Amino acid sequence: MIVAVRRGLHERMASTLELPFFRLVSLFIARTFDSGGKPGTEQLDFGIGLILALLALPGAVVSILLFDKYSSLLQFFRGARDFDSYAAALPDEYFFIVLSMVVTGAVAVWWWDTIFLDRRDYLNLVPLPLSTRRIFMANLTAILFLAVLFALDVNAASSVLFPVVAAGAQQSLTYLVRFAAVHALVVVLASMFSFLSVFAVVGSLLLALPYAVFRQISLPARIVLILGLLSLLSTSFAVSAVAGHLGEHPTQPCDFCRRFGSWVFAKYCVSGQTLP
Amino acid sequence: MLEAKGLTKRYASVPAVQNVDFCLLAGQVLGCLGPNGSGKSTTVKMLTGLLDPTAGKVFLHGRDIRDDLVGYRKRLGYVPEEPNLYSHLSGYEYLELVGTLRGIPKSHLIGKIEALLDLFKLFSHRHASLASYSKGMRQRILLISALMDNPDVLILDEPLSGLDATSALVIKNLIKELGQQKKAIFYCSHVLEVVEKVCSHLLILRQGNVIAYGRSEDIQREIGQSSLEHTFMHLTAEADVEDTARQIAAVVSSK
Repeated sequence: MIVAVRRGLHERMASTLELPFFRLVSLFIARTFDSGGKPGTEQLDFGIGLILALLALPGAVVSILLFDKYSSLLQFFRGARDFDSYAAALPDEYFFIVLSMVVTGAVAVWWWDTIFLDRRDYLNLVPLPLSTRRIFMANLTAILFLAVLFALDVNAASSVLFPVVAAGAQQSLTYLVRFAAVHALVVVLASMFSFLSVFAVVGSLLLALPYAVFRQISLPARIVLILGLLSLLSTSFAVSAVAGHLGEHPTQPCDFCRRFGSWVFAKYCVSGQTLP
Repeated sequence: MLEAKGLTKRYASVPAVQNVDFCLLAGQVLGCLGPNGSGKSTTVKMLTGLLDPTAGKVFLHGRDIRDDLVGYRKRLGYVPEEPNLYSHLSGYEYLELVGTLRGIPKSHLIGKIEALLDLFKLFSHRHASLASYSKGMRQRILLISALMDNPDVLILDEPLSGLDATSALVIKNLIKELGQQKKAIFYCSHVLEVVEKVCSHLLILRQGNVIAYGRSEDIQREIGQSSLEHTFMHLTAEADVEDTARQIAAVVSSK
C-alpha cells in the first residue's frame, strides 16, 4: 500500500512539474546557471551542485573553528568556570548574520541580471501562446525559489553546527532547540533579505535606465555593491563586540551599528531568544 | 484570414513602418521584400504581436489579434530571423519545452517531435546541446518548433538562413506544400530567387512604405519587367547597381 501511495505521489508530482507554468519556472532556474551562447555575459558556468557546495562551506568552516571557543572541557582547563555561552554567542550570532548576507548578496551580484527575462526569452517565449502575466509570475517564482534555496544552503551547516557548538553543553534541550530555531530563522531571513535587495537594485536600474546605459553602469554598480558587502563583513568584527551587549540593552543600539541592516536581524535574534 | 490595416510603427516620432495594408488568405504565400531598413522585421514583429503598433491593427478572421493574443499565438507558427535558442538544452529538450508550453498533449508530442527530427535530419543529434549545433541545425529546430502545433498562420523571417542546399530545397517545397494545405504564409526574405519560386503574392516595402502589393505576375506585368529581380531593382534601387559595383571594384584595385 505504501508503494502504491508513493507511486501515486510520484506520478502526481511528475504531472505537476509537466505543467507549462512549472516548465517555465524550471527553465528560468536552469538558464540562470548557464550563460553559454549569451552575449555580454562575463560569468563562468558552474554546475548547481558545485555552487551549492561552495556556498555552504564558509558557514561550516566558521562553525567548526568556534569549537575552541565554546568547548566546556577547554573552558574548564582555561579556568573559566562561569562561562556565559549565551552572552558569548551574541557576537558570533551577529557574525553569522553578516556572513549569510554577504555570501548570498555576492551570489546575487555575481548573477546580476541573468535571472531576469532577456532578449533570448523575448524571442523564444513571447511568440508562444503564453500570457505575459504567466511568464512574469514564473520568473518571479524562479527568483523566490532561488532566494530560498541559497538562503537555506548558505546557512545549512551553521544552522546545525553553531547551535550544537554554542549551546550543546547546556542542560536544557529546550534551550538548544530554541537557540537553533531562532538562529536558523534569523540567518535564513537575513540571506533572503540580502539576495532580494540586490535583485531589487538590478530591477530598479533595469526599469529606470535604457538597456545600453544599464549595461554601461552594470560593472561599476556591481563593484560598489561588492565593496558594500565587503565593508559589512570587515566591520562585523568591530560591531560584534557591541553586539555582545545587545542582550543587556536590546533597545539601545549605538548609532553606528543601527546603520547596518544586519543589526536589525541581530535584534530579532536577541528578541527570539529572550522571549518568555 | 490575416489582415493588416494601416499598420504603423514610429520610434521617437521616426517612422519605421507607415500605413502597411495587406490581406493574406488561406493558401496564399505572401513574400515580403525590401532593402535593409525598409521595415520588414518591424512588420513581422507587429504581425507576431512582439511589438505594439503605434497605429493600425492586425486582424485574424476579422478579429483584432490584441483582443486574444494568446489564442492568436496558438494558431501562429513563427521562425525568427536569428536562432537565439537556450544553449543549455538539447534539440529534443527545446522542442519538448516548446510543445509543452504550446499545450500539445504529451502522448501526441513525443511522436511528432521524433518524426520531425528524423525528417529534418536531426534525429542523431537530438540529445546534443544546442550550443554545439551549427546555424543551419538551429534554424531547422526553429522550423520544427514553428510547425509542430500545425499552425494556420506561418510567419517566416529569413527561414533559409544558414541552411545547406538540400535543406533549403526541402523547405522551399515544404512551403509550397503547406500553401496547398490552406495555410496562410508570410515569407520575409532578401533572396529574390526563392521568393519568386515560392510566393504567390508580393509585398514590397521601401523606407517603411508599401510600394507594391499584389499577385507577383501582376506586379511584374505592371512594371513591365520579365523577372522579380528586375522588378525589385526597378522599384527599390536608388542607384545604378552595376555602376556602384564598378566603382567599388575600381577603389579596391586602385593603388
